[in-house]
Amino acid sequence: MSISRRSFLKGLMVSSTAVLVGPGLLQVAEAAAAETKGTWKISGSHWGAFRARVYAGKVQEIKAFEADKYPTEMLNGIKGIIYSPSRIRYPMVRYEWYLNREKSDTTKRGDNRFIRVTWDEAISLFHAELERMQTQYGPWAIHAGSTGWRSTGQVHSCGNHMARAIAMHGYTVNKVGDYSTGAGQTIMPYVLGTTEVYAQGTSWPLILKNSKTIVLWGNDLVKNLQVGWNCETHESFEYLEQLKEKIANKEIRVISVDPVVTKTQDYLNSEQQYINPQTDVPFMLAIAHTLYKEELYDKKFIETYALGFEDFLPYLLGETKDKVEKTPEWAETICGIKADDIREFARSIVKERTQIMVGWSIQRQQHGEQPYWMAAVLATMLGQIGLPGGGISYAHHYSSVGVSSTGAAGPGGFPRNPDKPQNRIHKNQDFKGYSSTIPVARWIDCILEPGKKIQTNGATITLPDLKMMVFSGCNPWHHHQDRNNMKKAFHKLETVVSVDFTWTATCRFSDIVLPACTQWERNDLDLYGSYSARGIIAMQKLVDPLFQSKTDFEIFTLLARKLGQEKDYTRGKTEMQWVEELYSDCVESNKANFPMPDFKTFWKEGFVDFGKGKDWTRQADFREDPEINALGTPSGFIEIFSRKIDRYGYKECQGHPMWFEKSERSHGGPGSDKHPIWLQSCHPNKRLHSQMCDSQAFRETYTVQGREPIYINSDDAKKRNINDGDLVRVFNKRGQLLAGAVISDNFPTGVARIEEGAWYAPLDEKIGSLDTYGDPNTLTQDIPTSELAQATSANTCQVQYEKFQGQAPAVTAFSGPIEAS
Amino acid sequence: MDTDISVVNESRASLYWWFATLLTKELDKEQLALYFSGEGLQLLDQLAEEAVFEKPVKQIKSALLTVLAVKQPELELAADFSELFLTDAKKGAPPYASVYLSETGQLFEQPHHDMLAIFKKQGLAVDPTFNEPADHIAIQLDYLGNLIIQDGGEVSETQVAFIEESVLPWLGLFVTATTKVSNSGFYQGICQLMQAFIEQDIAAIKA
Repeated sequence: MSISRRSFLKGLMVSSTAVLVGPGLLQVAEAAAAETKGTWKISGSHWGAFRARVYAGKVQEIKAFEADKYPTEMLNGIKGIIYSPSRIRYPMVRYEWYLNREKSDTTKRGDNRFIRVTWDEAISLFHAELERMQTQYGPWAIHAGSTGWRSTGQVHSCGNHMARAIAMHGYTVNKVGDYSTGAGQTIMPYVLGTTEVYAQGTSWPLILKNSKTIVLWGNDLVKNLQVGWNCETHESFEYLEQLKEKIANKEIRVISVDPVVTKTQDYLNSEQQYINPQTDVPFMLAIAHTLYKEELYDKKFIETYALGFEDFLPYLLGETKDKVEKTPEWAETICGIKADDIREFARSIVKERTQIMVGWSIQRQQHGEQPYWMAAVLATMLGQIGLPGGGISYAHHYSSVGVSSTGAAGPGGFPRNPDKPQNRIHKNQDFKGYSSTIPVARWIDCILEPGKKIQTNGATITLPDLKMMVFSGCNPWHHHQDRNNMKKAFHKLETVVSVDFTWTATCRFSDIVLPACTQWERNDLDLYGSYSARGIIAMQKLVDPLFQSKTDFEIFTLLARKLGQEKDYTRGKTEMQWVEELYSDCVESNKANFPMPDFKTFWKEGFVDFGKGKDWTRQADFREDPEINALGTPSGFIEIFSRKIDRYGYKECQGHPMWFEKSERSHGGPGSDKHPIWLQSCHPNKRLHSQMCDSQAFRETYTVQGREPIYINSDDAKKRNINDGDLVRVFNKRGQLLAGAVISDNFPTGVARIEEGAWYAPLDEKIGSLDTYGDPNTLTQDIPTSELAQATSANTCQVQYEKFQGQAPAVTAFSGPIEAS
Repeated sequence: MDTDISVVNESRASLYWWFATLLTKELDKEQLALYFSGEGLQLLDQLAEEAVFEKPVKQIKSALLTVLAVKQPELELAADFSELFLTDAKKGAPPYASVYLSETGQLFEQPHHDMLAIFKKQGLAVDPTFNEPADHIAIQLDYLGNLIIQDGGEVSETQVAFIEESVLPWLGLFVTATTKVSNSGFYQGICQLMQAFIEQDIAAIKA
């Protein structure tokens, strides 16, 4: 083939272009291994373990680990995470911030240009900001303690890396609690002696054998058991299958107390006790009232195991300040359950062995401490705590709680604290009167109202004047409430640093963004079964870190190097040496009871199986001897009345459980005239919080016109002329979003669901701008549960919605930072 | 060997490599200076003599004037580069064939594997310091430059096939994506110049 003689090309001074041309991008390949179909490797995740075929440097297919008999379909989303166009490919710095640092125009956060910097420059900037904060302000100005669900793996656990490296530099503000169970984990130690929410529960075989009734209180087991804190085993599903059979055979009754028909109810084909949203406490009080009045409650159990029933009774009987007797008739007007049905419900659960299983939804609302406490009071009145298949649990929907524990030790983690705290660069511990620890959900208040004093769990704390936030594997622009309030707060921050593998909204609102690799681009190991400790799973690196991403271990080693403490940080060990060491320590801990193979064998096989644990009944030891096996409460007994809490003198969490009206409530409650729909933002069915929302093909299995679904009732839809599949604008005074209508009569009138974790995708950086994808926290309110826990109240949220008219704007999430043009 | 073709090929290869360089990474201060007054400007002027290149060159020069007005023009262009190629996969123009040609719109799809297969045959691999999918536009252009030089005084079928099968199917989509981003317009101009050049090049070969 020839080419026409083009004059300009002939005349082109090749030598002059030489200085304009950079080095080539190709090189001679190393001798390639013989061609195969690829290699199968094993890894784990919150969604379970799997084997992956890797070929030509790419994950080609994923198969559930053969020991997992009930794998979640979310495994189909894994590849979409690794190869998402939302990946952060290089270290990036917000351009405006790069030019002007702390004097940057912060109102532009969330709509800004970024520039790529080298890793060296990125780490230098990160370090310089930490340094500036410590010298110009003090430890109170930096919050580097917020953490989220991270990725699995014990060596690379991102919170530990961030905490260790930053602590080697100086002190910072830290948090207590979390967004899942803030109210529950704070109240329950006063009542039953442990958090209860993160505790092993009675084994399923004992429940299946002994329970006659199971009450699922705001609890969707089938939806939530798909994911686990460590590598999930899905062993609970075997028991749910048996439960389904027992329900069909009428051996066990399962009643779901819930405003909506849950996935669990659909699966089990079980019963529902409808209840108006947020009114669990009136229903519970009325049950207690019935049990008391009809003398059905277990007096002896209360006498032996509980304190304060007599202090609670006057409230129940209307003899205290409010003068309201908590009769079923009184409750009916609030909770929407007929008084006679309440009585019948009370009689039915006390008649035979009843296991109450409470979910976390009812404590993620204003006064969320109360339903948890009151449920414990009910269980105490039933007198079955400590009996197999009786009593109460607050965690059977979480991480396979209820699958018996083997008792084997899991692998430890990369150390969170510095080995030599005396070598900390900045030793200043003067927080200038501010508190060094804050309740997790109050950090936005810190930024907006520094110096404000608040009550929390028996203490008075002063909100620190935060100037810099550091996040790693944490997406508060998903889990915190009220986006527009967050936008206001972020205008006040000087510097925000995020470490993540994907452009979450948090990264988009940050100044320095460091690309971590995904958990499948590094070697690690994990416990298989968070509570069951079924085994140890190898997490073999599937592919090398993509682009310029690095492991958390490498990223924070670079920061430690800047501090001149690299060796102290890594202890002179590589990633693989850490994996091996954590494994060997685990072998040592287990040598008496669970002999384990050597590391090489483990790494090759990919799994150590500890087998099945022994069945166990929660609080059985306490029941057997409450003196010797006292609970962890101040008195050692179940505290129906807490003197300690009473002495705090709080208004919204007093000495015993009580009903408090909510700031917003549906079905005739406050605010329902203007915004009649209660919006529940429960844990998603096809994500882990906001994780996997960026996995495009999998996301498209549930989105409606590319938007997050809003599940609505057919009558509510008809009233608004909305058809299934329409776009809907959902709004209240705090914000507005677009979502796609899914009409389902699993949802009663006055109730809608948008699952949390939907990525925030505002049209622009301006306060009030429309969220184009459908993040429910655009609408939720940022108020504390009470003075006790100061936890999130996401489920206290009223909205209105209408059919969206006009040209819908494109979804702005799932790519890089947005720029409104 | 046709010495004329050999000379033309050297120029062609240089231009492909030049485009590859511009799309590999941001220009630093020294490199950018060459476009204000130096070899870069000369090259642009020379290209502008061809009617089809006049418009994009004009855009590039006008963008250069715009960024010259800011304190650190190289940073302004770096922000443009990021905006187009490094961050926003939707509003920007990710420089990967997979994004435009695969059904999923994901990274590392078939076009990436196709490039790997081509490299494998030639015993080549992407330089690990440029850790990018093999269907990155700069990698394709860099490889094309190499092919042209290998051909010496001729234009091989391989070269033509590569342009037609690997580059042209997404070139227009990619360049159009760049035009949707509004900033100084420097890289949009470069991309349009590149497209015009490639189209003219293949037309000249086929003529």
